[in-house]
Amino acid sequence: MEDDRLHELVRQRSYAEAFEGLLDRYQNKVYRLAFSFTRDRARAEELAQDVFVKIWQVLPRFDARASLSTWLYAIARNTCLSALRYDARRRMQPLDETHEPAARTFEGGAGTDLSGVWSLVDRLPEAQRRVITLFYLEDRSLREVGRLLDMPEGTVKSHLHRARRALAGAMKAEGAR
Amino acid sequence: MDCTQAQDLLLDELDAALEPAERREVLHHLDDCEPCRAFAGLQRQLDAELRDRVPALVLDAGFRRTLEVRLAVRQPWPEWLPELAYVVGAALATAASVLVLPFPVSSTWWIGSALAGLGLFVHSLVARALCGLDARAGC
Repeated sequence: MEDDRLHELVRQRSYAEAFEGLLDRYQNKVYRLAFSFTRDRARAEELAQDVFVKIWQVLPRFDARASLSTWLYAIARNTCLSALRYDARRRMQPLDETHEPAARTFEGGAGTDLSGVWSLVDRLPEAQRRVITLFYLEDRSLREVGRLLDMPEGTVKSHLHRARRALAGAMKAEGAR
Repeated sequence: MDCTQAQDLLLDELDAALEPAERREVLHHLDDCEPCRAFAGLQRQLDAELRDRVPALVLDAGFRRTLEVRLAVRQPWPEWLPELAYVVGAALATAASVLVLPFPVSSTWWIGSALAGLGLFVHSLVARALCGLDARAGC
């Protein structure tokens, strides 16, 4: 379903149908965006769930000032950032204050199963890691990465270049060992 | 063209095709520059590995099933009802009109105020129904 049709459905308050359409169109994009933040498939899926629960709750308040995709990606980014902050706080909590099992670390966590060059991506600074991950997940589209991360294409490109240079350096170092 | 410019263009080429003139200049530079040739080789190898080993991230049907369960326990405001703002507005209008009345209040005033609130509620239902019938109404 195209964005225009989804927009029309929201305007007509056919929220259930619009929500189905949003899921069809954006669930995998939101999942990949969440993965670029968490680097963990299971956690990314949980966050994608959280994003769509929020979307369902606030869909009646969508006011069409931005496009549906821009609005949806903003909710997805904010959800991921809040979750990362929450997870970071939990990790910093002393063990005797934690009543549940220790929070999972995303990098190299059980669901990551990334190997080879993708495991090197984990060592990059956060922004570069997100950009390069989404670039390859989104079929090498600078424009799409920019839309997902709300970044100008020039910024995406500059993060990508820095990431490539750093990865090449890491590959060389790995090869030299 | 110096090595920094050539390497920037080599990286650009991995994101999108270069202009023919830029491509010629880079190739010309590579003919005479061993470090840039090594840089180009390494970057192409890196790009190929990233592309070939990119994880496949597609959600399966289980995602929808779990989401449906989560949404079932968090029903939003029912679609057939007018927006919450209408209902609260009607209730406040009724309460306000009752409170400002002189005491003792006659039953006529009470009934009139309640009917005004009910009227607002029914109006919102009718407006919503009309919106549903005609999408061009701009509701």
